[in-house]
Amino acid sequence: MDKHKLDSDIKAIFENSKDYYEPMAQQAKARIWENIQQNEKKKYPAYLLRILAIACILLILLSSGLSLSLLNSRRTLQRITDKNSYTEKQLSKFMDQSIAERIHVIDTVVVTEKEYIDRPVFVTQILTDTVFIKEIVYMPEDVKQNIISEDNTPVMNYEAAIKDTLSFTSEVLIRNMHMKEQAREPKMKIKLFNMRDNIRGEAVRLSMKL
Amino acid sequence: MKILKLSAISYSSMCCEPYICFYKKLNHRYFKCQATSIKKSGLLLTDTINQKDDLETKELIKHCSKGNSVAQGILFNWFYSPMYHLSMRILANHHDVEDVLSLAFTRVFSYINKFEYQGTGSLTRWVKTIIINESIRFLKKKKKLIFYDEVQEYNKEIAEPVYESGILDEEQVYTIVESMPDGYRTVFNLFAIEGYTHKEIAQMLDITENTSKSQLRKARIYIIDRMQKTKKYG
Repeated sequence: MDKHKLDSDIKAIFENSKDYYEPMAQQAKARIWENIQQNEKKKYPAYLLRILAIACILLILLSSGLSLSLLNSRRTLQRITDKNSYTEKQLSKFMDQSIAERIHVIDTVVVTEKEYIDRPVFVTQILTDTVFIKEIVYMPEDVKQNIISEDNTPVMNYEAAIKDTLSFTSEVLIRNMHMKEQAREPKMKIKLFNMRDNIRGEAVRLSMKL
Repeated sequence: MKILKLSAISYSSMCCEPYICFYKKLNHRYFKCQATSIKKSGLLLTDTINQKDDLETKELIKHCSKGNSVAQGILFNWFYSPMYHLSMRILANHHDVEDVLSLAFTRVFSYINKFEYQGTGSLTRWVKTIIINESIRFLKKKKKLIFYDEVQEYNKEIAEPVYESGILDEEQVYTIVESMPDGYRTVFNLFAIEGYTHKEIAQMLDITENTSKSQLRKARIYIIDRMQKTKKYG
Protein backbone atom coordinates (compact mmCIF):
# COMPACT_ATOMS: atom_id res chain seq x y z
CA MET A 1 0.00 0.00 0.00
CA ASP A 2 1.22 2.12 0.37
CA LYS A 3 2.51 5.19 -0.82
CA HIS A 4 -0.28 7.67 -1.27
CA LYS A 5 -0.23 11.15 -2.50
CA LEU A 6 -2.06 12.25 0.59
CA ASP A 7 0.86 11.18 2.74
CA SER A 8 3.40 13.23 0.83
CA ASP A 9 1.10 16.27 0.71
CA ILE A 10 0.53 16.21 4.44
CA LYS A 11 4.23 15.66 5.07
CA ALA A 12 5.06 18.67 2.98
CA ILE A 13 2.55 20.76 4.91
CA PHE A 14 4.10 19.70 8.19
CA GLU A 15 7.63 20.48 7.06
CA ASN A 16 6.64 23.88 5.79
CA SER A 17 4.81 24.80 8.98
CA LYS A 18 7.31 24.03 11.70
CA ASP A 19 6.37 27.20 13.49
CA TYR A 20 2.74 26.17 13.83
CA TYR A 21 3.11 25.12 17.48
CA GLU A 22 5.94 27.55 18.25
CA PRO A 23 4.07 29.98 20.53
CA MET A 24 2.81 27.15 22.71
CA ALA A 25 6.24 25.53 22.60
CA GLN A 26 8.00 28.66 23.76
CA GLN A 27 5.54 29.10 26.60
CA ALA A 28 6.24 25.58 27.82
CA LYS A 29 10.01 25.64 27.26
CA ALA A 30 10.98 27.09 30.64
CA ARG A 31 8.70 24.73 32.50
CA ILE A 32 10.02 21.72 30.61
CA TRP A 33 13.63 22.72 31.23
CA GLU A 34 12.95 23.17 34.93
CA ASN A 35 11.37 19.72 35.07
CA ILE A 36 14.41 18.27 33.34
CA GLN A 37 16.76 19.92 35.82
CA GLN A 38 14.72 18.62 38.75
CA ASN A 39 14.78 15.13 37.27
CA GLU A 40 18.55 15.43 36.94
CA LYS A 41 18.87 16.44 40.58
CA LYS A 42 16.65 13.56 41.67
CA LYS A 43 19.07 11.13 40.07
CA TYR A 44 21.90 12.11 42.40
CA PRO A 45 20.10 11.27 45.63
CA ALA A 46 19.20 7.97 44.07
CA TYR A 47 22.86 7.36 43.31
CA LEU A 48 23.81 8.52 46.77
CA LEU A 49 21.24 6.20 48.28
CA ARG A 50 22.53 3.32 46.20
CA ILE A 51 26.08 4.08 47.23
CA LEU A 52 25.00 4.33 50.86
CA ALA A 53 23.11 1.06 50.58
CA ILE A 54 26.11 -0.67 49.04
CA ALA A 55 28.36 0.82 51.70
CA CYS A 56 26.02 -0.38 54.45
CA ILE A 57 25.90 -3.87 52.99
CA LEU A 58 29.67 -3.97 52.71
CA LEU A 59 29.99 -2.69 56.26
CA ILE A 60 27.62 -5.33 57.54
CA LEU A 61 29.49 -8.04 55.69
CA LEU A 62 32.80 -6.77 56.95
CA SER A 63 31.64 -6.48 60.54
CA SER A 64 30.08 -9.94 60.45
CA GLY A 65 33.30 -11.34 59.04
CA LEU A 66 35.34 -9.60 61.71
CA SER A 67 33.02 -10.73 64.49
CA LEU A 68 33.16 -14.33 63.24
CA SER A 69 36.93 -14.25 63.15
CA LEU A 70 36.94 -12.69 66.62
CA LEU A 71 34.66 -15.41 67.95
CA ASN A 72 36.84 -18.08 66.40
CA SER A 73 39.96 -16.55 67.90
CA ARG A 74 38.25 -16.32 71.29
CA ARG A 75 37.28 -19.97 71.11
CA THR A 76 40.81 -20.87 70.20
CA LEU A 77 42.14 -18.81 73.09
CA GLN A 78 39.67 -20.42 75.47
CA ARG A 79 40.69 -23.85 74.27
CA ILE A 80 44.33 -23.03 74.73
CA THR A 81 43.64 -21.62 78.19
CA ASP A 82 41.70 -24.74 79.19
CA LYS A 83 44.44 -26.97 77.89
CA ASN A 84 46.98 -24.90 79.70
CA SER A 85 45.13 -25.10 83.00
CA TYR A 86 44.64 -28.83 82.48
CA THR A 87 48.31 -29.20 81.79
CA GLU A 88 49.13 -27.22 84.91
CA LYS A 89 46.87 -29.42 87.02
CA GLN A 90 48.39 -32.54 85.58
CA LEU A 91 51.83 -31.17 86.27
CA SER A 92 50.99 -30.24 89.84
CA LYS A 93 49.43 -33.66 90.29
CA PHE A 94 52.53 -35.40 89.00
CA MET A 95 54.66 -33.21 91.16
CA ASP A 96 52.55 -34.03 94.19
CA GLN A 97 52.84 -37.71 93.41
CA SER A 98 56.57 -37.54 93.09
CA ILE A 99 56.86 -35.66 96.38
CA ALA A 100 54.64 -38.20 98.06
CA GLU A 101 56.74 -41.05 96.78
CA ARG A 102 59.82 -39.47 98.22
CA ILE A 103 58.33 -38.85 101.65
CA HIS A 104 56.79 -42.38 101.97
CA VAL A 105 54.13 -41.23 104.16
CA ILE A 106 51.08 -43.17 104.02
CA ASP A 107 48.22 -41.92 105.84
CA THR A 108 45.54 -44.29 106.50
CA VAL A 109 42.34 -42.82 107.17
CA VAL A 110 39.86 -45.06 108.76
CA VAL A 111 36.45 -43.95 108.46
CA THR A 112 34.12 -45.44 110.91
CA GLU A 113 30.70 -45.33 109.88
CA LYS A 114 28.14 -46.15 112.37
CA GLU A 115 25.31 -47.88 110.89
CA TYR A 116 22.30 -48.24 112.98
CA ILE A 117 20.29 -51.17 111.94
CA ASP A 118 16.98 -51.58 113.47
CA ARG A 119 16.36 -55.27 113.67
CA PRO A 120 15.48 -57.66 116.45
CA VAL A 121 18.39 -59.15 118.28
CA PHE A 122 18.15 -62.76 119.20
CA VAL A 123 20.19 -63.80 122.25
CA THR A 124 20.64 -67.42 122.73
CA GLN A 125 20.69 -68.19 126.35
CA ILE A 126 21.56 -71.69 127.41
CA LEU A 127 19.88 -72.54 130.59
CA THR A 128 20.73 -75.70 132.51
CA ASP A 129 18.62 -76.93 135.10
CA THR A 130 19.28 -79.57 137.74
CA VAL A 131 17.25 -82.63 137.29
CA PHE A 132 17.17 -85.03 140.04
CA ILE A 133 16.68 -88.62 139.03
CA LYS A 134 15.95 -91.27 141.59
CA GLU A 135 17.21 -94.63 140.60
CA ILE A 136 16.52 -97.86 142.43
CA VAL A 137 19.05 -100.49 141.85
CA TYR A 138 18.08 -104.07 142.28
CA MET A 139 20.89 -106.34 143.16
CA PRO A 140 20.96 -110.10 142.43
CA GLU A 141 21.24 -112.46 145.45
CA ASP A 142 24.63 -113.82 144.62
CA VAL A 143 26.02 -110.47 144.86
CA LYS A 144 24.55 -109.64 148.22
CA GLN A 145 27.20 -111.57 150.07
CA ASN A 146 29.82 -109.41 148.65
CA ILE A 147 28.23 -106.29 149.78
CA ILE A 148 30.53 -104.04 151.68
CA SER A 149 29.87 -100.94 153.52
CA GLU A 150 31.15 -97.70 152.64
CA ASP A 151 34.14 -97.85 154.79
CA ASN A 152 35.10 -101.10 153.12
CA THR A 153 34.18 -103.33 156.02
CA PRO A 154 32.19 -106.39 155.26
CA VAL A 155 28.62 -106.25 156.16
CA MET A 156 27.80 -109.04 158.81
CA ASN A 157 24.16 -108.46 159.00
CA TYR A 158 23.28 -109.29 155.56
CA GLU A 159 19.62 -108.68 155.84
CA ALA A 160 20.08 -105.44 157.50
CA ALA A 161 22.59 -104.60 154.88
CA ILE A 162 20.19 -105.59 152.22
CA LYS A 163 17.60 -103.38 153.70
CA ASP A 164 19.91 -100.70 153.92
CA THR A 165 21.05 -101.53 150.47
CA LEU A 166 17.61 -101.54 149.26
CA SER A 167 17.10 -98.28 150.78
CA PHE A 168 20.16 -96.93 149.23
CA THR A 169 19.40 -95.01 146.32
CA SER A 170 21.86 -93.92 143.88
CA GLU A 171 21.61 -90.46 143.12
CA VAL A 172 22.40 -89.38 139.72
CA LEU A 173 22.63 -85.77 139.65
CA ILE A 174 22.46 -83.72 136.59
CA ARG A 175 23.75 -80.51 137.69
CA ASN A 176 24.01 -77.13 136.07
CA MET A 177 27.19 -75.81 134.71
CA HIS A 178 28.23 -74.27 137.98
CA MET A 179 27.94 -77.52 139.69
CA LYS A 180 29.55 -79.41 136.90
CA GLU A 181 32.87 -79.58 138.55
CA GLN A 182 31.36 -80.79 141.67
CA ALA A 183 29.30 -83.44 139.98
CA ARG A 184 30.33 -86.88 140.68
CA GLU A 185 29.73 -89.73 138.53
CA PRO A 186 27.60 -92.36 140.15
CA LYS A 187 29.62 -95.26 141.18
CA MET A 188 28.48 -98.62 142.10
CA LYS A 189 31.21 -100.22 144.04
CA ILE A 190 30.94 -103.79 145.08
CA LYS A 191 33.78 -105.32 146.94
CA LEU A 192 33.92 -109.00 147.34
CA PHE A 193 35.15 -110.68 150.49
CA ASN A 194 35.06 -107.66 152.57
CA MET A 195 31.99 -106.57 154.33
CA ARG A 196 31.61 -103.77 156.63
CA ASP A 197 29.32 -103.25 159.48
CA ASN A 198 27.00 -100.36 159.39
CA ILE A 199 27.04 -99.51 163.10
CA ARG A 200 26.63 -95.96 162.80
CA GLY A 201 23.61 -96.51 160.70
CA GLU A 202 24.90 -94.32 158.02
CA ALA A 203 24.12 -95.02 154.44
CA VAL A 204 26.41 -97.49 153.02
CA ARG A 205 27.65 -96.57 149.74
CA LEU A 206 27.82 -99.36 147.45
CA SER A 207 30.27 -99.08 144.77
CA MET A 208 30.92 -101.53 142.16
CA LYS A 209 33.96 -101.64 140.14
CA LEU A 210 33.06 -102.50 136.73
CA MET B 1 19.42 27.97 8.18
CA LYS B 2 21.48 30.47 9.96
CA ILE B 3 24.53 29.48 11.83
CA LEU B 4 25.14 31.88 14.61
CA LYS B 5 28.62 32.08 15.99
CA LEU B 6 28.46 33.37 19.49
CA SER B 7 30.90 33.68 22.25
CA ALA B 8 30.23 31.77 25.37
CA ILE B 9 29.62 34.93 27.37
CA SER B 10 26.92 36.21 25.09
CA TYR B 11 25.27 32.83 25.24
CA SER B 12 23.59 33.73 28.46
CA SER B 13 22.04 36.84 27.02
CA MET B 14 20.71 35.05 24.01
CA CYS B 15 19.40 31.83 25.23
CA CYS B 16 17.73 31.82 27.35
CA GLU B 17 14.94 32.65 29.35
CA PRO B 18 14.61 28.98 29.91
CA TYR B 19 18.01 29.09 31.50
CA ILE B 20 17.46 32.14 33.71
CA CYS B 21 16.34 30.19 36.70
CA PHE B 22 19.10 27.73 36.03
CA TYR B 23 21.77 30.43 35.81
CA LYS B 24 20.62 32.07 38.97
CA LYS B 25 21.22 28.88 40.82
CA LEU B 26 24.64 28.48 39.35
CA ASN B 27 27.61 30.09 40.87
CA HIS B 28 28.68 32.74 38.43
CA ARG B 29 32.23 31.53 38.45
CA TYR B 30 31.09 27.99 37.83
CA PHE B 31 29.01 29.12 34.86
CA LYS B 32 31.94 31.04 33.43
CA CYS B 33 34.13 28.01 33.75
CA GLN B 34 31.63 25.86 31.97
CA ALA B 35 31.07 28.41 29.29
CA THR B 36 34.80 28.89 28.91
CA SER B 37 35.36 25.20 28.52
CA ILE B 38 32.79 25.08 25.76
CA LYS B 39 34.36 28.13 24.14
CA LYS B 40 37.78 26.53 24.28
CA SER B 41 36.42 23.42 22.65
CA GLY B 42 35.35 25.53 19.74
CA LEU B 43 31.75 24.66 20.09
CA LEU B 44 29.52 26.97 18.10
CA LEU B 45 26.01 27.79 19.06
CA THR B 46 23.49 27.18 16.39
CA ASP B 47 19.84 27.87 16.56
CA THR B 48 19.09 24.92 14.41
CA ILE B 49 20.64 21.57 13.88
CA ASN B 50 23.35 21.78 11.27
CA GLN B 51 23.88 18.42 9.73
CA LYS B 52 27.38 19.22 8.58
CA ASP B 53 28.81 20.10 11.98
CA ASP B 54 29.90 16.67 13.03
CA LEU B 55 32.74 17.99 15.12
CA GLU B 56 30.46 20.29 17.03
CA THR B 57 28.02 17.47 17.60
CA LYS B 58 30.75 15.20 18.93
CA GLU B 59 31.98 17.91 21.23
CA LEU B 60 28.49 18.56 22.44
CA ILE B 61 27.89 14.89 23.11
CA LYS B 62 31.19 14.69 24.96
CA HIS B 63 30.32 17.62 27.23
CA CYS B 64 26.79 16.34 27.81
CA SER B 65 28.19 12.96 28.84
CA LYS B 66 30.29 14.70 31.48
CA GLY B 67 27.14 16.30 32.89
CA ASN B 68 27.93 19.78 31.69
CA SER B 69 24.65 21.59 32.21
CA VAL B 70 25.49 24.29 29.67
CA ALA B 71 26.09 21.64 27.01
CA GLN B 72 22.84 19.98 28.03
CA GLY B 73 21.13 23.32 27.63
CA ILE B 74 22.55 23.69 24.15
CA LEU B 75 21.40 20.22 23.19
CA PHE B 76 17.97 20.95 24.61
CA ASN B 77 17.84 24.14 22.64
CA TRP B 78 18.83 22.33 19.45
CA PHE B 79 16.14 19.74 19.59
CA TYR B 80 13.33 21.34 21.56
CA SER B 81 11.18 22.87 18.79
CA PRO B 82 11.26 19.98 16.30
CA MET B 83 10.66 17.46 19.05
CA TYR B 84 7.77 19.53 20.39
CA HIS B 85 6.15 19.46 16.94
CA LEU B 86 6.75 15.75 16.57
CA SER B 87 5.31 14.96 19.97
CA MET B 88 2.36 17.27 19.40
CA ARG B 89 1.52 15.51 16.13
CA ILE B 90 1.34 12.19 17.98
CA LEU B 91 -0.27 13.29 21.24
CA ALA B 92 -2.38 16.28 20.08
CA ASN B 93 -2.39 17.71 23.63
CA HIS B 94 -0.01 20.41 24.90
CA HIS B 95 -0.06 19.27 28.52
CA ASP B 96 0.74 15.71 27.51
CA VAL B 97 3.57 16.99 25.33
CA GLU B 98 5.13 18.85 28.28
CA ASP B 99 5.13 15.70 30.38
CA VAL B 100 6.53 13.58 27.58
CA LEU B 101 9.29 16.02 26.67
CA SER B 102 10.41 16.34 30.30
CA LEU B 103 10.76 12.59 30.56
CA ALA B 104 12.25 12.19 27.10
CA PHE B 105 15.01 14.78 27.51
CA THR B 106 15.83 13.42 30.96
CA ARG B 107 16.32 10.06 29.31
CA VAL B 108 18.41 11.67 26.55
CA PHE B 109 20.78 13.23 29.08
CA SER B 110 20.88 10.01 31.10
CA TYR B 111 21.88 7.78 28.22
CA ILE B 112 23.87 10.15 26.03
CA ASN B 113 27.08 8.74 27.51
CA LYS B 114 26.18 5.41 25.89
CA PHE B 115 25.36 6.98 22.52
CA GLU B 116 27.81 6.30 19.73
CA TYR B 117 27.97 9.01 17.15
CA GLN B 118 27.65 7.42 13.74
CA GLY B 119 27.71 10.36 11.44
CA THR B 120 25.47 13.17 10.39
CA GLY B 121 21.91 12.86 11.57
CA SER B 122 22.52 9.97 13.93
CA LEU B 123 22.00 12.12 17.00
CA THR B 124 18.80 13.55 15.54
CA ARG B 125 17.47 10.08 14.78
CA TRP B 126 18.41 8.89 18.23
CA VAL B 127 16.64 11.78 19.96
CA LYS B 128 13.60 11.36 17.68
CA THR B 129 13.39 7.68 18.53
CA ILE B 130 13.39 8.50 22.23
CA ILE B 131 10.66 11.12 21.79
CA ILE B 132 8.48 8.76 19.72
CA ASN B 133 8.92 5.88 22.16
CA GLU B 134 8.10 8.09 25.11
CA SER B 135 4.99 9.41 23.32
CA ILE B 136 3.78 5.89 22.55
CA ARG B 137 4.54 4.76 26.09
CA PHE B 138 2.52 7.70 27.37
CA LEU B 139 -0.46 6.80 25.15
CA LYS B 140 -0.31 3.18 26.26
CA LYS B 141 -0.13 4.21 29.89
CA LYS B 142 -3.20 6.43 29.47
CA LYS B 143 -4.89 3.62 27.54
CA LYS B 144 -5.55 5.90 24.65
CA LEU B 145 -4.26 3.59 21.96
CA ILE B 146 -7.39 1.83 20.83
CA PHE B 147 -7.23 0.27 17.41
CA TYR B 148 -10.68 0.28 15.94
CA ASP B 149 -10.04 -2.88 14.00
CA GLU B 150 -10.93 -4.72 17.18
CA VAL B 151 -14.24 -2.93 17.47
CA GLN B 152 -16.76 -4.78 15.31
CA GLU B 153 -18.80 -1.84 14.23
CA TYR B 154 -15.74 -0.34 12.66
CA ASN B 155 -14.82 -3.50 10.80
CA LYS B 156 -17.08 -2.73 7.93
CA GLU B 157 -15.26 -2.20 4.70
CA ILE B 158 -15.45 1.44 3.75
CA ALA B 159 -14.87 2.54 0.22
CA GLU B 160 -11.90 4.80 -0.03
CA PRO B 161 -12.94 8.23 -1.20
CA VAL B 162 -11.15 9.87 -4.01
CA TYR B 163 -8.40 12.22 -2.94
CA GLU B 164 -8.06 15.48 -4.76
CA SER B 165 -4.74 17.17 -4.29
CA GLY B 166 -4.63 20.86 -3.72
CA ILE B 167 -7.55 20.99 -1.35
CA LEU B 168 -5.36 20.87 1.70
CA ASP B 169 -5.16 23.83 3.99
CA GLU B 170 -2.49 23.99 6.69
CA GLU B 171 -4.90 24.89 9.42
CA GLN B 172 -7.37 22.24 8.33
CA VAL B 173 -4.74 19.56 8.20
CA TYR B 174 -3.59 20.29 11.73
CA THR B 175 -7.16 20.39 12.98
CA ILE B 176 -8.08 17.14 11.25
CA VAL B 177 -4.92 15.35 12.45
CA GLU B 178 -5.51 16.52 16.01
CA SER B 179 -9.11 15.34 15.88
CA MET B 180 -8.26 11.87 14.59
CA PRO B 181 -8.47 8.90 16.94
CA ASP B 182 -5.15 8.26 18.66
CA GLY B 183 -4.58 4.95 16.87
CA TYR B 184 -5.13 6.42 13.40
CA ARG B 185 -3.02 9.47 14.17
CA THR B 186 -0.12 7.49 15.59
CA VAL B 187 0.07 5.04 12.69
CA PHE B 188 -0.36 7.81 10.13
CA ASN B 189 2.41 9.94 11.66
CA LEU B 190 4.80 7.02 11.97
CA PHE B 191 4.25 5.79 8.44
CA ALA B 192 3.48 8.86 6.40
CA ILE B 193 5.59 11.49 8.16
CA GLU B 194 8.39 9.63 9.95
CA GLY B 195 8.83 6.89 7.33
CA TYR B 196 8.56 3.76 9.50
CA THR B 197 7.51 0.52 7.85
CA HIS B 198 4.45 -1.39 8.88
CA LYS B 199 6.64 -4.05 10.44
CA GLU B 200 8.42 -1.48 12.60
CA ILE B 201 5.14 0.18 13.51
CA ALA B 202 3.66 -3.18 14.48
CA GLN B 203 6.61 -3.87 16.77
CA MET B 204 6.43 -0.44 18.37
CA LEU B 205 2.69 -0.56 18.99
CA ASP B 206 2.41 -4.29 19.73
CA ILE B 207 -0.02 -4.85 16.87
CA THR B 208 0.02 -6.89 13.70
CA GLU B 209 1.12 -5.58 10.33
CA ASN B 210 -2.38 -5.98 9.00
CA THR B 211 -3.71 -3.87 11.83
CA SER B 212 -1.13 -1.22 11.02
CA LYS B 213 -2.12 -1.23 7.38
CA SER B 214 -5.76 -1.12 8.28
CA GLN B 215 -5.23 1.78 10.63
CA LEU B 216 -3.32 3.70 7.98
CA ARG B 217 -6.03 3.16 5.41
CA LYS B 218 -8.69 4.28 7.81
CA ALA B 219 -6.65 7.31 8.78
CA ARG B 220 -6.44 8.36 5.16
CA ILE B 221 -10.13 7.81 4.66
CA TYR B 222 -10.79 9.86 7.79
CA ILE B 223 -8.62 12.75 6.59
CA ILE B 224 -10.07 12.80 3.08
CA ASP B 225 -13.59 12.51 4.40
CA ARG B 226 -13.12 15.35 6.84
CA MET B 227 -11.45 17.55 4.27
CA GLN B 228 -14.27 17.01 1.85
CA LYS B 229 -16.83 17.80 4.50
CA THR B 230 -14.91 20.90 5.54
CA LYS B 231 -14.72 22.02 1.96
CA LYS B 232 -18.38 21.32 1.44
CA TYR B 233 -19.75 22.84 4.61
CA GLY B 234 -16.95 25.31 5.48
